[in-house]
Order: sequence, then C-alpha cells, then structure tokens
Amino acid sequence: MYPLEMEDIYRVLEETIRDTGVRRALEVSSERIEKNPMKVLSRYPYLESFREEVRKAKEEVLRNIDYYIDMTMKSVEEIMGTAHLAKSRDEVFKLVDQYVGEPPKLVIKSKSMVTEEIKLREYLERKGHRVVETDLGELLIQIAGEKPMHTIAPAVHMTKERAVKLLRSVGVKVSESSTLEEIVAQVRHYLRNIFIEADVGISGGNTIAADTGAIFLISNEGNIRNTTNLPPIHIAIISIEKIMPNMELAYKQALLQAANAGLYPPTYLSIIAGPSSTADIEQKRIYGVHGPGKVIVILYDGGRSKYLDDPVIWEQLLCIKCGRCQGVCPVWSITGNYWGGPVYGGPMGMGWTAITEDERLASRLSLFCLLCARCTEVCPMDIQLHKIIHELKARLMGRWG
Amino acid sequence: MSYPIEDILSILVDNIVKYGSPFRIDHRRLNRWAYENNLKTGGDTVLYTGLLYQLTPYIEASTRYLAKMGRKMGTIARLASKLIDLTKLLRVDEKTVNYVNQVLDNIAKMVKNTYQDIGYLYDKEPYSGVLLYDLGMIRLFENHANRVMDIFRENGVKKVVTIDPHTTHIIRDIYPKYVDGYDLEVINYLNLINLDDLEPGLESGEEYVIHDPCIYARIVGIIDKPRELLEKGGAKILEPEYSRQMTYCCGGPIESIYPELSSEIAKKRLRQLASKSSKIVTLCPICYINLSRAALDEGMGEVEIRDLASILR
Repeated sequence: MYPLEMEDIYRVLEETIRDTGVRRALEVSSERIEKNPMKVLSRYPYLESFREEVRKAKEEVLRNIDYYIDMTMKSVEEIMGTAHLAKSRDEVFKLVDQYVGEPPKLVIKSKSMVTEEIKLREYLERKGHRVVETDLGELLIQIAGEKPMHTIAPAVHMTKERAVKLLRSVGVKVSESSTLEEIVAQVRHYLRNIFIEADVGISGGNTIAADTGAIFLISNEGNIRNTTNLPPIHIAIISIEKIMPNMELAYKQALLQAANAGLYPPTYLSIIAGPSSTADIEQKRIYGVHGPGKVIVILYDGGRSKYLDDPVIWEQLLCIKCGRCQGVCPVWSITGNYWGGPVYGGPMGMGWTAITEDERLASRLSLFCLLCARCTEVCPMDIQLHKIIHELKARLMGRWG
Repeated sequence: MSYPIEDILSILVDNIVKYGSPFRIDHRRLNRWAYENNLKTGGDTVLYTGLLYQLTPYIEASTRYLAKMGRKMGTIARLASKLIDLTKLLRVDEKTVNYVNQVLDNIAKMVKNTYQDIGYLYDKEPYSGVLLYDLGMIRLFENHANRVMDIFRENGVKKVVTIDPHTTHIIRDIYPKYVDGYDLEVINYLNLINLDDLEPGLESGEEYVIHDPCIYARIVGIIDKPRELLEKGGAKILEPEYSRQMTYCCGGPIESIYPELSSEIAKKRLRQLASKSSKIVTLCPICYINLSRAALDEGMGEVEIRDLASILR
C-alpha cells in the first residue's frame, strides 16, 4: 500500500533528504534535465513553432475524445491491426491475458508509464509469466522493486554502485570495478537471447495518429525496436489523451517530446502501422514476416475521461510527459519522484496522481509545492502546472476554518 | 517523523483570523519609518506594504524558536495557541527591526518623489492574506480579502503602491476573483521610480549578484527595472546561473509546511548566488529571510544579503 497519510509523506521525504547517494544523483540529473532541452531548442528553433500547433490539436482531441477514439480504432483495424478500448485496468488485464495466452510465457516490455499505472508487469508475473523490462533504467527499477523516478529517465536517482549490485543479483556479469561501458555491454549480452526468445512484446506509445492508426515510439537505447519487432505479437497500450488527429501532428508531438526531454534528434523514432507483411510470392499478402504478425492496440482510459470536464485539472491531459517540469522543480531536484504518488511525481505528477490514482493523495502532496511556477515556465504545452497544484491544495484545504 | 503541520498552520491561521496577520505586529516599532516620513493617514493613494516586510523579524524569530523546540513544538504550539499569544514567546531581533525600518524608509522616500502626499494606514495596515491563498484555504482567504477591501474603502483608498512581489500579485491578480466590485488600482513601487530621481548611492562598480523573486520574474513581470535601478545606483550586476524568467526559488513558500526541505532549497539557491558574488541583492522579504538563514546555517559569514531598497537612495 502506498503512503496516503501526511505522516507517511513526511517520512518518505525525510528519508530522501538524508540519503546522500540519491541527493547527489538527483542533483546531477536535474541539472541535465534543465539544461539539455534549452540547448536543443536554441539549436533547432523550428521546434518552438510546433508547440502551439500540438497544443491546439490535443485540445481538439480532448474536446471530441469519443470521435477520435473511434477514428483511431477504425484506422488500426484498416491496417490489419486489432484495436480495443479499455476503461479500467481489469479490462486491460483481460485483453492482455487473451493475447499472451497461458503461462509461462516470456514477455518483454519497453518502458511505459501507462503500464506502470496499471502495474501490468506485476500482474503478469503473478500469473506465472516471466516479464523482462528492456529499458536499462526500467530494468534497474524492476530489479529494485521501486517506482520510476522520472518519466524518461526512471533510474536517475541510482548510483553506479547500486546499479552494479542490482544487475549482479539477476546474473548480469558485472562487478564493482566494471566501467560503465562494460556494464552496458553485459546488459546487451544479457538481453540478447531474451529479445530473440520472447513470445510477446509490450510497449506504450508516445502518440498514435487517429487518421492512420500508426503508433509513434521514441527510443535511444534501441530496445523499443527490438521489443516491438522481434516477438511474434506486439501489444501497445496507449492512454486515450495521446491520440493525435493525424500523422503530421503525431510526428510533431513525438519530436517535441523528445526535444523537451533533451534527447534530440531521438536516436530512433519508430512508426508502427500494423503487422509486418509480404506479398512477394504470387502477390498474396502474408502477415508476420520479420516483425510481429499481430499488432494489438489497447486504448486505455484509466480515469482520464472523468477529468475532461474538470475546470482546472483537465489541462493536465495535454501533458506529453517530457518530464521537463521535473528537472527544473526545486523540490523535485531534492526529492525526485519520492515526492509523488505510486507512479507520477514532481509538478506534472500532482495532476497525474489525481487523475490516475487518488485526488486526496495528490492534494496532500501538493502542499509541498512552492508555487514558484518554474514548471509552468518551461512546459512545452503551456500547462499552468502551478495552478493545477494550487487547485489541488484548495480542494484539500479550502474549507479550513 | 511526525511534523506538527496542523498545529503550526493552526497558529498562523488563528492569528490571521484573530489579529489580521500571522504574527501580531508591533506597529509602533515597525512603522517608525512612516512616522519619520510624515506619511498622512489613509487617503486616495496609499503605500501598501501588506505587512510582509514588517513580518520579517517575527518569521525569523519563530523559525529560531521552532528549530530550538523541534518536535516538541506540537504540544507547545497547541497550548500556546489556546492560552497565550505566541508572538509574546518570540524574541524579535532589534537589528532586524532596524533593517526593516531602513528598507521601508528608503521605499517611502523614493515613492514620495512621485506621490508627495502618499498616505499609509499605520496600525490599520492590513496583511494581504497571501499565506491563506497559497495554502489553498480559500474560504478564509475570501473572508480576509473582503475585510482588507473594506478597510481600504473605509479609508477612502482607491490606489495602492505595493512594495513586494507576493502582495502585488495577490492583491492585483487574485483579489478580483474573490471581491465583488473590486476597483482598486495597484502599482508596484519599482515601476513608479523614475531613474532620474536616483542618486548613485554605491561605490562605483560595486558588484552585486541579483536574485529575482519567482513571483516578480514569472508572474508579475518585473525583471529589467530592478537591474536598471541598480545600475543607476552605481552597481555592477552579476547574473547568477538561474536568473530572470528562470530564477530559482529561495524555498520560502514551504517554510511552514516543511522547514527542512525549505532550507535545503534555500541553501542550494544561496550556493548558486554566492558562487558569483558574496554580495547578494534581493527584492522580496521572504527571499531575504530564507537566504540569510541559509547563509547562517552554512557558516557563510562573508555573504551579505541586502534588499534592493536598502541600496538605492
């Protein structure tokens, strides 16, 4: 059970403040998260012009969400994919069970905040499947049994010493004297066969284009390409607010997210539109060549539609989860996502915790916000993050006295 | 740990409800500057401090008190708030009282260059209620804001000259949402000062690193004016690593929620500033308190923190 009471929140924060290892790691990473996007944005100024366009498109989708969900699902079916809409985590689990099949299966995952929300990895493990996270940071989080510290860089709070210890515990051949290069090489070696042998690959999606059903996925490690390409089945679980009206806008959103995460150009941008196929022999189309023969898209609501009409918190749904607000936040730079709910933390994490977990928990956490508005200043979607947080405070404290 | 958050907030809030501000201000001592400048009582245009500067010595003393009492504070606070006025337990530092009077005296003199007969409300001067709003205590804030506006109306006030970022923002941008028939004109003193009225009060080329308050830089939109004023005053301005729109918070706003976290943030900001110069100029009493305390905690005796208004003449 995640701490819900003030006393628990204080305890977690106090432990974090006193943990010099975590503090040092967060100090370095928050500075990087603050500075890298600024360098990218000044070097590629055209990205600035995407902001308004993408925000407008996202507003349009949120205003007509049923229409765009419907369009997306039809488009996915048209390109021979399978599309589902799941309102709750139980509905996602049922669908995933249907496609993963009887345990034990080997399931590989790319990092996805939505699957963190529903705790899909834990669910599949309980069912008797072997699940392996393929993003290095997320793999460390999986082994440690923790929650991701940042949307893009889940293990920002970990020191090298800690990473070595964790990797050794699952049999990766590394030692205290290993260099970073050696560690990465050993992780590559460890994951190689797992990629080849996996029965199912599960990913999230940075965005999905309603007009074509194409999924956009950004990665730097290359793990997402392996996860979505090597197994015979690819399941993409994408929350409904990530729908963009068309390919062009989806592409712009993906680039904007990468840039504001400070990773630009993204090493890989995959556009996946249905299963792999060939018609090279006698012009008859056969599905499942080198890539998956089955691509399943699960659009996930998970509390989001409830907030579409919320006068203040609805704006959080415009978030492209670049995590830039976290790096610039003076509180987050000390606490990381320990200042947060079970999945989301930092400035964007207050609104997301309200939407996907519990508004009261989000409100209690919000009391620790300075309202300094650095987050709002950098948000590429111009979300008034500090106003969302103030509203959460007010929902808890409004009737005081 | 169990931090007595409810007790701490209760004291501050009870005081605001009972006495109008988080601590009972000794108006005689902290309005010396207004008497000395012969400001008239009330009137069409008044200097509105919102008491934020005058609260400085009390906030400073209460933090010292909290640090000394530590976790026992919960019980003491509960008793204190029931039986006696907590303000009486606090030992206010005379040096800080003098400093506040000096800053306010300078502001009054500069404002008088534009408005010769500017007024002041003296012991009726109301606190803005910014703490209530920031904590999300909307019902109390609304009552408070309306009380403040009544005081203005009763004293014929139509225009206020504000002197700190928090009071400026709350009374200019937030009050209109909670006060029916809001018609107050708000102007910040920095926007009022004419550069030509200033005398260079500094040794030429003296270097200061400037700390923009978050609310001025990102919300109210005051960034360039303090720099122009400082330069006119003869200073050489150094920009810290995070400045202007990306200025870094001093930690002050969560002081009552979690002092330890607040202080970690203050120390971080102090280090950023001090790496440029040991002379730091601030424009907000909350920043002043937090950065000064961080300097003390870090044993950085060489650091000198001053309000912009204490430098200008």
